[in-house]
Amino acid sequence: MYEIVEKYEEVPNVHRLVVREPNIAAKAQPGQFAILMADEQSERVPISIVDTKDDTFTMFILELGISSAKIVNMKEGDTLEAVTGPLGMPADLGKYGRVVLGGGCYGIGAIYPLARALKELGNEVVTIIEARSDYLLYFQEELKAVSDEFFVATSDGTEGTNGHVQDVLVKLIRDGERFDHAKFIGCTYMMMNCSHITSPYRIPTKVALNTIMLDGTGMCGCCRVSVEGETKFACVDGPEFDGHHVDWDELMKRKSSYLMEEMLAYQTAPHTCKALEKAYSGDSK
Amino acid sequence: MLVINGNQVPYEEGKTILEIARENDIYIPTLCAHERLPSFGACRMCMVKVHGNKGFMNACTTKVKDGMVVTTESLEIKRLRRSIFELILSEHPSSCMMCAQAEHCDKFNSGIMKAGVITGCNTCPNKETCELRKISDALNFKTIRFPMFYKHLPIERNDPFFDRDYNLCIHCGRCVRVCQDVEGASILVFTHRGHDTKVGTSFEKPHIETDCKFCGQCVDVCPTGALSARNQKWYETPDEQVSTTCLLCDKGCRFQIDVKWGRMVGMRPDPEYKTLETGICVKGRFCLPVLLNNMDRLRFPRIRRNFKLYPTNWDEAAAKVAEIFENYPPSKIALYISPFLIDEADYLFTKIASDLEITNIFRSKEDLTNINKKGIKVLYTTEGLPNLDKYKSLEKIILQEVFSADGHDFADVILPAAAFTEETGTITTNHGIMTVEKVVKAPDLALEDWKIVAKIAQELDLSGFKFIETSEIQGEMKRLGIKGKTRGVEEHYLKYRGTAIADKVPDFKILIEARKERDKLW
Ligand SMILES: Cc1cc2nc3c(=O)[nH]c(=O)nc-3n(C[C@H](O)[C@H](O)[C@H](O)COP(=O)(O)OP(=O)(O)OC[C@H]3O[C@@H](n4cnc5c(N)ncnc54)[C@H](O)[C@@H]3O)c2cc1C
Ligand code: SF4
Ligand code: SF4
Ligand code: SF4
Ligand code: FES
Ligand code: FES
Repeated sequence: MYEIVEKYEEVPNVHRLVVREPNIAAKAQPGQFAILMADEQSERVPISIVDTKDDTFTMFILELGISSAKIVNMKEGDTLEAVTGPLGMPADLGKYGRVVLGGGCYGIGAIYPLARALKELGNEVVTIIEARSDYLLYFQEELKAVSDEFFVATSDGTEGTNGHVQDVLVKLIRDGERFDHAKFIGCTYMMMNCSHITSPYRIPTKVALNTIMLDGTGMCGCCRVSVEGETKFACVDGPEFDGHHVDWDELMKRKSSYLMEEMLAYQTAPHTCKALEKAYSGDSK
Repeated sequence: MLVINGNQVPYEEGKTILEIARENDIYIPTLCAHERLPSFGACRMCMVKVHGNKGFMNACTTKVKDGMVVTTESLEIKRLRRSIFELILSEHPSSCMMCAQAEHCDKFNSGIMKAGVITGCNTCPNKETCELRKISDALNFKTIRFPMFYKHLPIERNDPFFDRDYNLCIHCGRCVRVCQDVEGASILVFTHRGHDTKVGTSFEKPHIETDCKFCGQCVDVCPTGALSARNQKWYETPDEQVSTTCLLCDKGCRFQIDVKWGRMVGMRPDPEYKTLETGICVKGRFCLPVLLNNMDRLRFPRIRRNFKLYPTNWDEAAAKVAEIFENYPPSKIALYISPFLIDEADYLFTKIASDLEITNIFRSKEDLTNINKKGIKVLYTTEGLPNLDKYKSLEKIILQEVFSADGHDFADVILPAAAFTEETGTITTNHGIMTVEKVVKAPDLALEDWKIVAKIAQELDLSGFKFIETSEIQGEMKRLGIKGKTRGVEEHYLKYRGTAIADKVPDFKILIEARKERDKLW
């Protein structure tokens, strides 16, 4: 059982979650993730590790379907059934020079340990984040503290550039900026778009793929991705891969393989979910 | 006569400008008006110019007068509508509507629209049917000049069946009106005045603590994603929509069912039917898909061999039933005909009974006391068999059911039946004879009740059971002057055949347990 020591909704639908797990706290490296289970019948949910402190580690979780809903409906003091990690390969880190980082969704948080490590290695770090609207931006002060330059894009233009990370990126490159390395974390669509931008400029680009995962240890094969024509397991070979060589079409297709099950899971969900059941019975008020 | 946009259209007394315009295919954008609700004049999207009047009038509340001259489209009107719409959207999570990437994002980011919190169309369960998006398209809306304002209201998800995110609410008042004027429940009200206006229950109590009927009518009329059915969230465009009648009680509510992946995924009141007058209830609106998509459905015929039930095919199962019928005298055999069968299945059961000279036909739990009285040895039940240990005389049980109801583990033959959403036929309701349509395919080998009877009849070499469709059975019933009758299932009955709905629908269980002290559960 793993205690939730801190949990609150940072902005609508982005939940900061701090969990006590000394092993992860001691060993996690930038770019690694953990797998969480809310209760004994939950799916296993892979979540990026953002920071560690003493015997705890921090994550940002967006509610998507039933499994993430169970987690975000838990409260401080509740316990997760299982937490495994750190999993995956640490991100490639080196002294590249000028590095651009892009984050969207949960990637705004997940990009943070990379920014900090790259900065510590002596790189110049340019960070760009995106959200639908200004009220959905979070973690900005922390990111600014580890970035040399910091940009924001919103889909509705309420803050920063009207558009996405890719739009800021295009503008910077057109304005003559040169980058020696790029990393993007966010929804698959955003990572694909950004990789398409950096490709013609030959900026080495890494993306953290969020394939569907089960065990997270290289056994089930459910996280298969094709990179440069080779089959890789995102959980053990990644999650970081070369964004210019990922087969994006296949990835998107594989990610939507279980739409029916994900939707039908809601029909019988409360059965298996203590947190939601509590919420339904009015206890949470 | 009156003139709209320079064209003459016929005058009809008592109608509003909006009604006349719609009848003549003239588009006027509307948000708060709903064809089956009294007009309210809240959103002002429908403004038109009536010549001779200063300013603009609401098309939805203004009655036509003979000789009226109306303009529905002009630069001025367009500008005004845009401003009103802009104001509405500035207090609605509308960024996806203004996003340059929206179209591609839609295509690639599939399957992410189930969260309780809605921060844009791409996470909204209402996306496929959204009326805001339709108007946005009609006005070719791309940017907004006002500052955006997110209300930061808490998401209300501590009720069974629905999620309510009033951050999306545009105060059209449809839900308030449907609850008050149609359901007569008046659960929803405008709870604050002025800038803090919000829709909710009085004192913001959870619905389960109020007298809310969980009829879902508010969810169905909401033009936005503010109100959504939790177990029927986003499933993209449905593959098919089929209308049918609910058979869970005698009321006979009509529903239009969205089908995707061969499953029932969404329910709404049948738009072709006056459902708003007849009402609908929680069992049909919210429980049906959960109940019948359930993994616990009976899927394969089974027969008992060496004290265990083994799956088999239909030929062997029907032969087994025939064998049992042949081995016992008709006076020791009883049929328990569930009120949840369609009329055609009911008729075929009575037909096979009369052919076999079986006179013990039970239609209610009370009738089951006859088992001991008459020393019945074989029971063929279509509705489980509660309190099995009471019936000492029984030697063989044939169970034709949708779920493994009471008595399943002691049956000699299990015949998996299709649910009423998986067959075509008629039922007799309080509104008279109504049709049920096949919405989805029955799971695996499960078969319509009447087809199972026909199979058994064929094994017994009985003639007159070779039907291909229920319409042929209806024809025979008509010729013989046999009519279905209402089945005496009242609205608050809690079972479908022999199975408690709450056993299969967790949210329903929460509802009836929370309200068990009340006279009326909903
Ligand atoms: C390495 C990695 C790191 C991640 N980091 C974060 C993070 O820091 N914060 C965050 O909010 N999310 C993160 N995710 C995504 C998160 O795991 C999914 O959102 C979550 O599993 C969805 O589960 P669900 O049941 O709530 O949604 P569902 O309704 O089951 O699925 C919704 C969609 O999520 C995806 N998905 C479903 N199951 C999985 C699964 N087991 N693994 C991955 N994707 C799945 C599918 O594309 C699916 O269509 C990460 C994923 C990976 C692989
Ligand atoms: S109701 Fe939903 S789909 Fe419609 S505009 Fe609002 S967020 Fe978009
Ligand atoms: S579910 Fe029915 S009774 Fe309850 S608030 Fe909605 S319309 Fe009113
Ligand atoms: S909840 Fe929906 S139906 Fe009710 S007032 Fe708001 S937008 Fe209208
Ligand atoms: S998640 Fe099972 S092999 Fe990667
Ligand atoms: S539709 Fe007429 S005022 Fe809303």
